[in-house]
Amino acid sequence: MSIPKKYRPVAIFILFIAFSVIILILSTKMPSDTVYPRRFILDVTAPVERLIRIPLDKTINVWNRYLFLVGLGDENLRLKKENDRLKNQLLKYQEGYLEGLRLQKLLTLKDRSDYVFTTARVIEIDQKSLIKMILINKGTSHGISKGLPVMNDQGVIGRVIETSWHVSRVLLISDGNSNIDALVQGTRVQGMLQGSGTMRCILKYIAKTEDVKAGDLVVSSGMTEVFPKGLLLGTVIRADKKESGLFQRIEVVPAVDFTRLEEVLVLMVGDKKKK
Amino acid sequence: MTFYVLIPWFLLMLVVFQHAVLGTVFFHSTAVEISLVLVIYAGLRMAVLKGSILSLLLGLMMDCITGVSSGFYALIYVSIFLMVYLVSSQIYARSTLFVVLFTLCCGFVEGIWLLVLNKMIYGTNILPDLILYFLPQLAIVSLISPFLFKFFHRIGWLHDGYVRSS
Repeated sequence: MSIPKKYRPVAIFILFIAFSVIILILSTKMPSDTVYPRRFILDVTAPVERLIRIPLDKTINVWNRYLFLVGLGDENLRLKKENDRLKNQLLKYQEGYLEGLRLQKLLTLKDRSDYVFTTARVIEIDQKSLIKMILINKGTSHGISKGLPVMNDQGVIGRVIETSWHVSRVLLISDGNSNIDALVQGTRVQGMLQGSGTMRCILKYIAKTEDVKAGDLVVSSGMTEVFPKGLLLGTVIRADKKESGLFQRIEVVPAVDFTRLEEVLVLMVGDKKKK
Repeated sequence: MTFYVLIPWFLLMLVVFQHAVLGTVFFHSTAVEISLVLVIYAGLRMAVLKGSILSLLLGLMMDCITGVSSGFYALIYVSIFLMVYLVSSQIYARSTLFVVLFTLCCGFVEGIWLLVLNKMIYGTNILPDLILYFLPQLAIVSLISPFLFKFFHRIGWLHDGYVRSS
């Protein structure tokens, strides 16, 4: 049965639109592991990008280190002062850490360093587009799987949402689709940390009766299997009780500076170090 | 026949170039979406079947590269192609200014699609991001669209000698 020539464009359009809608419905309703065509394209893009990034990074490095030196003297003085202050702070923290170790032994709690980390290099930062994410140079062949938390020395960066053989995509905690069970460190009050799309997060479902103030640290609560307890997520910068409703509006700035990511650690939840 | 053999590779090169090369050159602060211009070009100049295949494939590749659900950009691009194809017989798309303005209009349509699909699929409101990032990107893409039209026109196998005039 052939379609009359007059109606052929209409038939083609209906066919293609229907096909796109079906793929979209299938991929959203039945999420599965990254399919092969997606893996292939991810693996093709990453090396090209890396190749371009090398000379570009070198140029930026030369510019920053040798040419753009305005305010370097002032910055040097400021850093020296900050260094002294941090040394003192470090001493205090070391004391606290040792005390913590002693207490931990007493309580026979598992330390989070029990987890095995995999180091990965960031090959792309895409946080100014509609989806805030990064690409890292490790994939399924390195044991990375969907859902694993990603962090660095500053705190939690996000979680792996897609993997190919040698590359993985990490959704940043600042993305609107990111939700993490969190608690305010001082008061132990629990809520849900959601990305707000910009460089901020919102701590949701904290009752107005709770006392949360700017400067409070927000850490993962460990309620879900994804993020272990006690990982630093960010700092409260504003808690507003004036909004209508039962809950406060709490703005949190992520602990990690996403613009300066170079190496990250993928926390292999499930794998533990053998002691 | 050449079209069907070459098109997947050409589109793959295009999205890789768009994402890796242009993205890196602009420090990922501006995504120059030349793929949108290709879809508009297809709608104005190419035959319906080839244009539809091109839009669908390009959309699927964009889905892979941007990390959104499969079918997301495919649906957007196919519908933009459809829209452009339907109006192509009513317009004179030879002047540079028209191409710029027309690309701008199609970009707005894409923006509306992005807004609606993000709300429906992910439940997120991306309006602030659209204003902050998408609109400046759209302005750049619109400005360079006449040059890209000329470039696409020079690729002979893309339309196999068949160019619809509008």
